[in-house]
Amino acid sequence: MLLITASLLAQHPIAAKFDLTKRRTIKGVVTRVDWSNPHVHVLVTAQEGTRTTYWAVELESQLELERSKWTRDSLKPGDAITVQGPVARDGSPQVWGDSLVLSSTGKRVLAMSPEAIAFFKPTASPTAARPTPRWPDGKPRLGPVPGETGYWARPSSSGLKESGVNVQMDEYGLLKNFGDAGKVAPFQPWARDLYVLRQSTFLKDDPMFLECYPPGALRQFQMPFGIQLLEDKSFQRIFVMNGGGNHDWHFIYTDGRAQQGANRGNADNPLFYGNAVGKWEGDTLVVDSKGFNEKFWFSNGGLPHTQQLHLVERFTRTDMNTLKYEVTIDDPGAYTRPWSSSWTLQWVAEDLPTFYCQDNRA
Amino acid sequence: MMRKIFLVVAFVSLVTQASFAQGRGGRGGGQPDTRPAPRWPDGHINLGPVPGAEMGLWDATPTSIPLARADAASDFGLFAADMSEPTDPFLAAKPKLSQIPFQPWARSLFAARVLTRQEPYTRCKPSSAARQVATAYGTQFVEVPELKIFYIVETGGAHSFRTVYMDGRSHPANLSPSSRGHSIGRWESDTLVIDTVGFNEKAWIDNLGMPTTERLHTIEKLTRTSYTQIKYEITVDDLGAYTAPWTSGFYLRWAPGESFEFVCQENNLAPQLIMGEDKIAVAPPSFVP
Repeated sequence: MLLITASLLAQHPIAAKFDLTKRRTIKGVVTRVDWSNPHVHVLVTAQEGTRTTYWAVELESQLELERSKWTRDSLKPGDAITVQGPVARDGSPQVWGDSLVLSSTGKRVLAMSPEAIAFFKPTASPTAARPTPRWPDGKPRLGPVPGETGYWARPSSSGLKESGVNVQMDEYGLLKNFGDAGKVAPFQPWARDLYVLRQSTFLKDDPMFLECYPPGALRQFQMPFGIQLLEDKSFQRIFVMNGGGNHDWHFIYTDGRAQQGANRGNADNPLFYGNAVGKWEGDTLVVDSKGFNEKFWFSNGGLPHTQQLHLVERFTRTDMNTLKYEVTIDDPGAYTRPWSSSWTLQWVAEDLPTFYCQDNRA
Repeated sequence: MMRKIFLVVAFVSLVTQASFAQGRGGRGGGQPDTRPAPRWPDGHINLGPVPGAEMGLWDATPTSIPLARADAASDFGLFAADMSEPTDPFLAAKPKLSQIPFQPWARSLFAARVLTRQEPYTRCKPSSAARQVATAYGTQFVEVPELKIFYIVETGGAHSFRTVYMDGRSHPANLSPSSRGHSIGRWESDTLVIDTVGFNEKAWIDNLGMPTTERLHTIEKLTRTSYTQIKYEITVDDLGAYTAPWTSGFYLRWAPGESFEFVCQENNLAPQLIMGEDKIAVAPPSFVP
């Protein structure tokens, strides 16, 4: 029964927190607008019969709402509004703001615009892309060309599954049908069971959201707010910089160093991004990473991994606007054999967004 | 474990006035380093490592970070105030607390902040302005001339980065206030000048919590005065909190080494080690997630 319900409704990670089968309509007055990432909140005081109730209405991120042309002044304390949306699973007075209507005008406010929704999705390029930009030494450039700006985002697939597997999952890696879980990757039984648990609880235990942990490992290449690859040629290293998550960064070393323990040489210090060493094979940057900890989910959708995780990632900029990403996942602790996946990222010709998961934390 | 032990040592050092540079094996030896500030082939100053030479990061001595000097040791509450009278003219020119042109409310808020010490940094928040260039474990300044971008990259704290646009653009209109604001930069002779607006009022621009408002405008100047030293100056222009603009700063010291992965959220001991004790409650998120 749970599986049927989930497959019908769980189209968005809001299902992790909100029960999409229980909806409320709240008429009240805005007391505060918390205009920040990761999610904007509007606090509303309502009169329900003789009782005064206090609600937190959760919305998309500040970044997404500003992309939709809303500002922190679009809704003000004192405004009377009607809110509709699903309520929190834990019974707390929180509601996801599917719809906020301003009483004075009858108009919806703080909704995502179609343009903003489209912005974060992969697009078909209207014109042929320019060829792969190159450095004077002939190697492909992984970042912007001089005089321009841009970053990589809009993954063609943001839920991880083995190449060739035909299962449907949403942009957060949530399966359309939990019965497909065993097909997603060559899981060991415990890993499959943990994956099913994470899925069937709508990814609610995701440490990236709960703790504002870094996306880590390959998940950074599945993120809506993108990544910047800054090739620091002078020192043979690449800064991998996240637009979203906690707006953090890590190095891929391309100076030929050996992969050993942590950067400081202590092997017992597993990391969120592992120790990443890269080398060029023709036009492809091949990055080999080990030394991961088990505190994070290495992909959207909650596929388990262990400290034995070893990733080989291949980055190929096939034209100006396309980065092909191929990964081989070798983790004998969680999977019965190495397996692969791939997707593409698209070039977004504007500045990398600044988003901090921890912004509206205490 | 090494990193966690190091983390403890370094946070304790924040309190005990030990220098990061000493802890990280700075050049030491007591011999002054006479190497000049390095330059790129086009002649402009290099604020980072020199290709082919030792890698390094910029460290601040923790007690030098506050943007005011204490008139009395008790001015900074439980935070150790460096009461020594500097001989260096730049440090001697740093304003004492009594010289900061506080508006009355800002002076009161400052007094409260040094007592409660709820610095956002200790809760893994991105640090702002002067605090950002002086986070633990060293800062990297990464200039990318061909992209006309300059990055200020932290190791500790939020392990994040600030983007400084060097392409001649202006600040956008209608900036949404943020902890870091919007930074644009330019070279003025051998000094990098960074102009920032668009801060929110949650931002702490130093580790004591000099109050600021959304009117805050900072002008930061980075001058590499030798191979191993950067003079960091900041003008705080915020007529919402002060009656006049004022200027302060500190030195950053070169410390050999490389940056590394640091995740504040992973095992955050800052509330105990910087703020002093467990009983300082760090409130849980008010309504997320």
